[in-house]
Amino acid sequence: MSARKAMRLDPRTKLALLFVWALAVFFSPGLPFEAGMMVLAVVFGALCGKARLSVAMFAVYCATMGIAIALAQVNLGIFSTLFNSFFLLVRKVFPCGLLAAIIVSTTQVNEFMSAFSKMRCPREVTIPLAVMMRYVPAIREDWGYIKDAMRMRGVSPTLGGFLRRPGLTVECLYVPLMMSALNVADELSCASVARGIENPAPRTCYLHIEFGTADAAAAVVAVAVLAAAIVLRSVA
Amino acid sequence: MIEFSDVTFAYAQTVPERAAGVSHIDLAVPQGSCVLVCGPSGCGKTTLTRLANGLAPTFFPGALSGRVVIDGCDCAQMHSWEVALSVGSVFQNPRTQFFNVDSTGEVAFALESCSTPEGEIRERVAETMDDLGIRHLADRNIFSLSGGEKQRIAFASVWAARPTNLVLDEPTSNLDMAAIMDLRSYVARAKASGTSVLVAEHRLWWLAGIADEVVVMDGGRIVRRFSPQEFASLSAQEVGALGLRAQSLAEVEAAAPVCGQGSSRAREAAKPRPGEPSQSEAEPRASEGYRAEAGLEVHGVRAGYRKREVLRGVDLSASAGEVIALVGRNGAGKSTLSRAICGLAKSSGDYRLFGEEAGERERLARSSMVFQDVNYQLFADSTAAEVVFGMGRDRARTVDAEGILSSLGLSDVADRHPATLSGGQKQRLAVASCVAARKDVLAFDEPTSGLDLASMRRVAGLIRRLAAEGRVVLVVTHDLEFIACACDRAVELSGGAVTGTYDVAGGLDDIRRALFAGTQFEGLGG
Repeated sequence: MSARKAMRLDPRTKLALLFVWALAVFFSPGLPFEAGMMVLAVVFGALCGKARLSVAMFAVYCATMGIAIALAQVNLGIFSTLFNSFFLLVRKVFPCGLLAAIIVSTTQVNEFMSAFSKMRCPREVTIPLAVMMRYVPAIREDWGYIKDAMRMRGVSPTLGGFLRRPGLTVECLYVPLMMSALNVADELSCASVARGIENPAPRTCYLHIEFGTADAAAAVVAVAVLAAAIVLRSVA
Repeated sequence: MIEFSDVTFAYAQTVPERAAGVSHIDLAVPQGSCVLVCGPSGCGKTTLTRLANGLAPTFFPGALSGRVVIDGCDCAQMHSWEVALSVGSVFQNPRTQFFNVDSTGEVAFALESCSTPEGEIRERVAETMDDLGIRHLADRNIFSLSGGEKQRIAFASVWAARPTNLVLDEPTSNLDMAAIMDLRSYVARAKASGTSVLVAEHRLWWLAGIADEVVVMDGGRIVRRFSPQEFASLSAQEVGALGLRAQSLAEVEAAAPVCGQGSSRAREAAKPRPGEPSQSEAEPRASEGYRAEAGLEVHGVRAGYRKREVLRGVDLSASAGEVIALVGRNGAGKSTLSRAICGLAKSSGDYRLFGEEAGERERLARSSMVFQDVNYQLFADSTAAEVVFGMGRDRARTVDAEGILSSLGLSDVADRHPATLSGGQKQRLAVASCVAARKDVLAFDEPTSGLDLASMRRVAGLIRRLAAEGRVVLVVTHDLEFIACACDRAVELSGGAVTGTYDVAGGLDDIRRALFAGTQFEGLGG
């Protein structure tokens, strides 16, 4: 816990932000606009207590765009289409990707479930999504064991090893991951049923969830960005 | 209050596990009492817990006859969440019962499910954590918690809702002594506040003085029932004859010879003393390719984990043929040491394998770990292919896979997919791959967690045999019975250094003390 209190938003606001952000990228008139959106996302990340993550992703974005601009000056022949589509992908995906990363890393599973329950989203949708949020970080833990096991069998769990023996490396990764996933999914659902996850009463959350001034401010900024994107695009 | 009256349950064909059903169970767990259900694996005790918390038949379908009554209501008439309101469940594996990624959210889970207002949840969560003395675990990422810490949180998440009944299914299988002793105090507290507690367990000693009735099951039926006094008066032999683990750790020593391993212990006088350099005068035994005498020597090993120094100069030596138990609290450095020895963790220090200096690469090639969860180290699509998995084609051809499988009792399942094997078979298969790769140093991580007496002895026999063939075997364990059965020496780690080395033959008192180090119950069962 950092000393300074990080901004906390309603999970519903976060979802709405992501949606508006995606639309804004879609309507965006060009790179300067998207770079501006990146800067705003970094500010948002810093306010949410994820400054390091935001700045790191922003740096990667700037570097990639720098290379793109430099490469645009030279003629690469047939490779230019390949590079251009890659850079376009990065250019368009990163502003949303950064926002999504900030949102996922600042939302607890129970906050998310409670918010969805308030939105009257059926449990058939909420529970699998919540399990996914819970499972993804568990893979990192699994990877530690699998890596050790691969090395003991003389299979290198590195990029080099993958390039040398791609089939074997992939097999080493997915077989234990699948086994562990099946096992975890079974026991996790068993444990959650035993703890009343199927209760039809609306879920509450020990963290306070409310649409407050911070939510309003964030929403206003996001909508303004979307409006600007649409206006600038039609002007251009 | 949990009551079973003439309950018979058989799992539907669709349930993939080979869990055993139960028949004609009559059992009552009155308010404020604790019933311990024990028996060998597959006796039906887990099914009994599933019937009590409503998972059978709602989650595990099957045919039920008779009545399971919770606080006066017939379980069959209740929804899963209605049962959940009055029965709290704690399961075996702390890794897979967490729904949240943060500890506080996890404790709040049950309260959130039943729509408790948020202010009240916060109060109850804080109160529960204070009550159980785990305030320091609040607001932590669950992936940063040890197994024992996770299980404390799992108990707290159940206890926060103050259920009138508790059902614990092998809750201590993955725990160290300190965590077990905490769980013991939680159960005692729950009982004192009028909760009915039903525990299915292999480990019995931690419930001494708490259980009000001990029920022994076999083949899905209740075969014996004991009052606590009657149970305590049973001799170690009688308890063993029932297929049960020791009821008191004080008696473990007396029970040791039952394993019949004492004579085969590699405890000859010629063995080098720990810490002393030893010369390998003996000729290599050509037939096996092993050298006798000094197997593993480790000097001044230091290693870190995430910028924290975990090992602060460890010295250890083990002869070929020796089985060494590594004991100590969570975080003492036991796993890091085994990983460092196997060349998996970055470390500094001197290592010698069979008299020769061995760098990381060398150690990686000649040693292997057998994980607690062996699922992580099985890769191939058949048992036979698993044995030689990862080897080059030429090397694989030199391996007598059939011979290795038959020596480990796996010939029958050579064509099966490893995923379909039982836990014990998977463990032996992981061992088979180590044998095939001619690994000289094997490090087992908690090989007997959650095992009944017969399975534990089988693992003990296997480990002794692996050592007798000329290997060095290290075992990270909290299982005193296993140590008594299978190990030559116990090495105590504390704060990243060796703080004691104890010969098993010299008595178990020191080892018992080492296992309980840091708990308030160092004399429990003594």
